[in-house]
Amino acid sequence: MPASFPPLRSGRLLVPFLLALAAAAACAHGVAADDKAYFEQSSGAHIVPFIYLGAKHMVTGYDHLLFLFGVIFFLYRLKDVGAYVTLFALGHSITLLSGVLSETRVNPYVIDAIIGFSVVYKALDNMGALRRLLGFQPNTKAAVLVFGLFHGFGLATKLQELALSQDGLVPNILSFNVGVEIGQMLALSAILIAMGYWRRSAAFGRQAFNANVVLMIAGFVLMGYQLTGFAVT
Amino acid sequence: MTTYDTTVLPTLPQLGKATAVALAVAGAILVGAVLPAEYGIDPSGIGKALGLTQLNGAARQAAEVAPAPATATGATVTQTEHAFRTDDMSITLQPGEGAEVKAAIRKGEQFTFSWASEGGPVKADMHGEPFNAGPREFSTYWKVARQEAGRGTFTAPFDGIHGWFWRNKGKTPVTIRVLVSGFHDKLFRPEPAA
Repeated sequence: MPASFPPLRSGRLLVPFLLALAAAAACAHGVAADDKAYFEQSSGAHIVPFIYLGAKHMVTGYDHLLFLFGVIFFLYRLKDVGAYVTLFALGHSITLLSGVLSETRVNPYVIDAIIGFSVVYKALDNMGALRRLLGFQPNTKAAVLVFGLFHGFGLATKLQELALSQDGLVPNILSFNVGVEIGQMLALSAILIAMGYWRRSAAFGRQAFNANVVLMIAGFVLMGYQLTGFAVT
Repeated sequence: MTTYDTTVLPTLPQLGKATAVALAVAGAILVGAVLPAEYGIDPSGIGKALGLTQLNGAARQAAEVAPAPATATGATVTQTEHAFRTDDMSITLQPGEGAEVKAAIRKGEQFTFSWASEGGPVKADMHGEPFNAGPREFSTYWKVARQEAGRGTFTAPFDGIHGWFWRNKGKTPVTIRVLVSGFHDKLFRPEPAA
């Protein structure tokens, strides 16, 4: 559980490391099909490969990252960041584990469209739109937990596509879940460092509203992309 | 740390404008780039003009590897030192179960094959690897997500074990019967990788 993050001082070390990781993930994309074949042709527990896959999925999963970016946009204290991330992790762990184990098949396009909507929701929330329209602030922690549950279904669907063997399924899913948390921590650390610099600048107050409009655009694009996929398949 | 003052709420016209702009930009990105590239949906023609529609289909084909159709190229007769043999094997797969059947064969040698699945389609992957290969060292020849039968001629591109991996993705058991005739050394079921 990402309860505490390295202080910003360690950014000097972390940024090159993250760049290296991103490069590794980019290279890994080419062998994704091989990853799949490897897992499908072997049975039993593969702790480290599944941790790696989970982390890779999170670090390269732009939809999850956009949502997290929206969530921590106005969070300054590490304690708050930790609380929200824990809630998000709790939500997606529940549905990831139960979804795979109960063989719940959810249409991935629907789930991904909901994830796109979660990005739009969080952008509007950051802009103060919900308070303006509803007259009160909906519980942000509850929203993160609920959307975390949906994100978990998305992860479960990705994992089910691997047609995993029943042998060693539980340790493998748990490993994947651990990997997702590690990937989340790495990605969040990078986002937090960048946000830290940005927030210190005088322009942040002026740019915050427009940044969330951009976030909303990204959410709408994700929704349109997934809903079209749902319509044509 | 400066704290951003979130107590000043934007006005409804401001919010309406921001949302309208976001929808318009997202729509333009979708129509001009994402939908043509991902689905080949291009009512505006922008995707074609940008060359993005070429991307469509490439990704889908990458998921499946198709063999070449039979053509009359190459030598009419080739000679071999290996003994000719025919092997016949049946395997039953429970739901979710996967298994390999492989033939050891030398580079350049051929076998003809025919397999069929009884009880429903299976995920089929024809591939090969050198003798004593590492876990990631293999070449894929033919890969289909749902297939009931496959037949053809195989020429080994390198010394090694070449054959099939099938997985039953259905809810009921299936039985796969595979028939191999040619100049391979043996047909066997490799131990699944640990």
